[in-house]
Amino acid sequence: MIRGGKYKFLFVSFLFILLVYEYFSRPIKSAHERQLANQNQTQQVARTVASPFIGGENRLNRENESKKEQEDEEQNEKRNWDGFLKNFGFDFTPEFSENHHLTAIRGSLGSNLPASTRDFTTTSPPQVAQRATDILDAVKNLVGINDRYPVQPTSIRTGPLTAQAFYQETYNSLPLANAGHLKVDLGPKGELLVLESDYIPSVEISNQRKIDTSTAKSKAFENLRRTQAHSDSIQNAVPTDSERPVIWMSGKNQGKIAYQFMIQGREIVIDAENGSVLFNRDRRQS
Amino acid sequence: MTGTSGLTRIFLLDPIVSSGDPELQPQSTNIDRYLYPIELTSLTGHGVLKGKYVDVSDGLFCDGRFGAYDIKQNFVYPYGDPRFQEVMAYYYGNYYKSFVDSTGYSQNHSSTNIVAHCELADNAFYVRSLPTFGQSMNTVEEMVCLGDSVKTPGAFYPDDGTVVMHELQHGATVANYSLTYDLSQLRFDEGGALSEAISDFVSLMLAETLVPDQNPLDPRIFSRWALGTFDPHEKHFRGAHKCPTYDSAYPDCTDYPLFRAGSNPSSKTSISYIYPDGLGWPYPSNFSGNSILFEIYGRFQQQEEIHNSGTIILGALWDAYEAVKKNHSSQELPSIRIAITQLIHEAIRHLPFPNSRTNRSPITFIEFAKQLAIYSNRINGLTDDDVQDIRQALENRGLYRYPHVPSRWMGNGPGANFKIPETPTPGVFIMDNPVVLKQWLENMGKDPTLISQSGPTSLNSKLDPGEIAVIWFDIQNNSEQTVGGVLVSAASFDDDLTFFNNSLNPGFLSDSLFNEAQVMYSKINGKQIVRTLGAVSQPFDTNQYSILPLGNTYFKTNPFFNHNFRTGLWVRVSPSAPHGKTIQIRVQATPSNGMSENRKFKVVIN
Repeated sequence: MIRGGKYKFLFVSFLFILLVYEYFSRPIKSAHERQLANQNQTQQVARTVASPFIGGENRLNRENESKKEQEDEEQNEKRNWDGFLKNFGFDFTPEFSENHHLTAIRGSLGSNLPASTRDFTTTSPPQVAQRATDILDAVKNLVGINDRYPVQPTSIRTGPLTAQAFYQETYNSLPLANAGHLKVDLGPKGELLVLESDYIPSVEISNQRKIDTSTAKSKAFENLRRTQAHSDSIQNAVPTDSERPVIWMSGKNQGKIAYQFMIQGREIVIDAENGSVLFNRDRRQS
Repeated sequence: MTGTSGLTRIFLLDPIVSSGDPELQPQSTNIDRYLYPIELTSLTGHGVLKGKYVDVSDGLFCDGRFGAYDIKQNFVYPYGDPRFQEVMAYYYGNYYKSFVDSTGYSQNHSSTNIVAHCELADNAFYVRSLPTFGQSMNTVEEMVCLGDSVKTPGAFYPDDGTVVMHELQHGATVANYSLTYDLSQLRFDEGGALSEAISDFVSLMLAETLVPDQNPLDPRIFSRWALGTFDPHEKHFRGAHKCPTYDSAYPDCTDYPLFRAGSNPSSKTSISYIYPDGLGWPYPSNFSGNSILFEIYGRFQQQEEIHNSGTIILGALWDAYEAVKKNHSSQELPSIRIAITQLIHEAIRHLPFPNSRTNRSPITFIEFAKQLAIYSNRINGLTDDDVQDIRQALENRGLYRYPHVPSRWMGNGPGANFKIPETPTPGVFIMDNPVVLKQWLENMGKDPTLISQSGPTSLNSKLDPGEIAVIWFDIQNNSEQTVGGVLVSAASFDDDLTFFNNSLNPGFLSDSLFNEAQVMYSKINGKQIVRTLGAVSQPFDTNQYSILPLGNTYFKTNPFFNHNFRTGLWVRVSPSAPHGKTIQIRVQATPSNGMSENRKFKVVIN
């Protein structure tokens, strides 16, 4: 009992320290910091970089949350993380957002547990897909993936040394265009090198689809003409011209249903409700 | 010829290399003399320039159809025939893509569309289509546009084989990174510069295989034809040397890694392309005067432009390549080129992605160097000596096992430089001039009517209620070392001042807890480089400064920081913001070679 109480005290202390860190932390890491982190591999939850200015309303709100809920959340987080370590190895550095969501797991080449498939190879798309799915399933709760915004696989990249699997957050079958990307990077034996997540667990959709693609396209052309010196040539489609309906993240957790166009090397995103230009950028690389 | 082969005559790389005449100009007569007969390969056999790797159409036709046609696939044209440029594009496009395909890192892309004589004046570019949801990697459409020169009519970008290969390498680079994201996320960032440098390097490496034997021209110069001769007023070529052309010891760069500011033509000038102090110094010399460094510092406005700031990475890759070459026989060189190309693309695959919470521009030169170092000992064909030499080359350029900037480096600068001697807003520069802002919005394809401010308060370089402005922070570097690749993250906790979303700020963090946006400052001088380059004892011309007016702040590192919007952040002041109110902006700066730090920058509502 005494020993158990001591561990409980240590664990609660650990959680408290994490909480304090969270209030004063920023998860931005430079390559320099990541290198330092890798040199000091730890299985502990990493929340780094002091920031004395974070606070205000969020801090007060957090302080008003019930202690019990926080403890449950932290315990679930730790349980999920321990479960992941058990199955995939112990030499990982996780990164969490200020919202408690897992944003990255960093391993290294040749360390941690290989895929259970004996003949695993990074040149086999089905094997890569299976291994990546297993990993993603194991951290699903930590990332915050939920049924309202399901994650869909987008592509598998195989190679002689490593392989990567890419996933995309969706809403009503539409992909988030400028957020919600996930990448599982696998080493030669299927060991996890890096998992990166830009998953947003809750997206507030603030508009409705009221215009069709052709109307949106005419709005895009209108915008393009404003910047094109040779507006006559705009009418000539080029092979890379393309379009797709998407969710466009344009504000704090705020997404809009939109049409994304690539026209003559310019990316233009049109609001699907009112036809306004949400984003444009010259994507030509010279 | 028929089937997959065709005949043609082309320049070997470009007219200068082909002729061996470094003074050759686009206006020179009889350039046809320097054409070499050569066989085209990988054609589909339809009598047009359509092949396994590239299809070349002609922008002179409205519908972008094929130009050159011959059922016997005899594509021999004189230099003055527009179809000649189509053939150049095909040959070098096919040469490049078949090489990358042999490395196993081409991502199985379908044939790339190359448009010769495309509508773009005085430039060339690569672009790819949007991925369809669920689409596999190999179905994205790619296009390379190779324009004609307007500054020198009769000169064409396809005539420079290095340009053709450079543009196509952008395709391999992004394909090995992401189906959707480009390396460059912010308008000027190290991701963009890295992409340019990789394109330059692979192009130069392949160019080496195309240059005739005994050709005396320097293999480290990128695009000596198009970038070197098309603009009659300035040279824009780039290079992989350790120092720029105006360094006293160029091209051997024997002073590397020194920096030294010569005050007159007889004294030595040394600039070394070592990270981070070597960032931003242009490669060619387009200025004259008693002190070339003063001329550049005082007049060169492209310090942070991505093609310019990629020089260090280009040089580091070339150094690594040269070092590895020395470990092998000439017979092994083809496999070494393949191994180096595999290494670069493998490293690209492990570069981090942008995210919506903390970092919109995570790619840095140092991160890329780290990945090169990690994977160098996993590439077939590279020996232990090769691995050590690659790592040493990266280290010599300041990119690997680099000196770390100590903590507490960040401070608040005064907000002044030699172009801004006094400021009404210490520490912050505010551009609120509606004429300038409207022009910038026009350039960005945005609605200029967004700017409503007018009258005297719109020209006071202060924030007034209801105004829209672009702002910069004069971050001071208190350390001896220069900080590089500084990701600046600015957050407002006050509703009276908000950062625009990604419609104007590409670095807006949509999943941050705060109203927050990011931008990248290429470097901020440390005290040491300021002492070194600022300590010129001899006076310049009487109407000039007696010392190079460098300083250890952002505004004194790049005095032209505010000449465009590319490193600025767009903000809106609430119409109801009270006069005299002080608003604090939290600025977090994360250099690639040091720790992330925070400072508060204050702005007062006028």
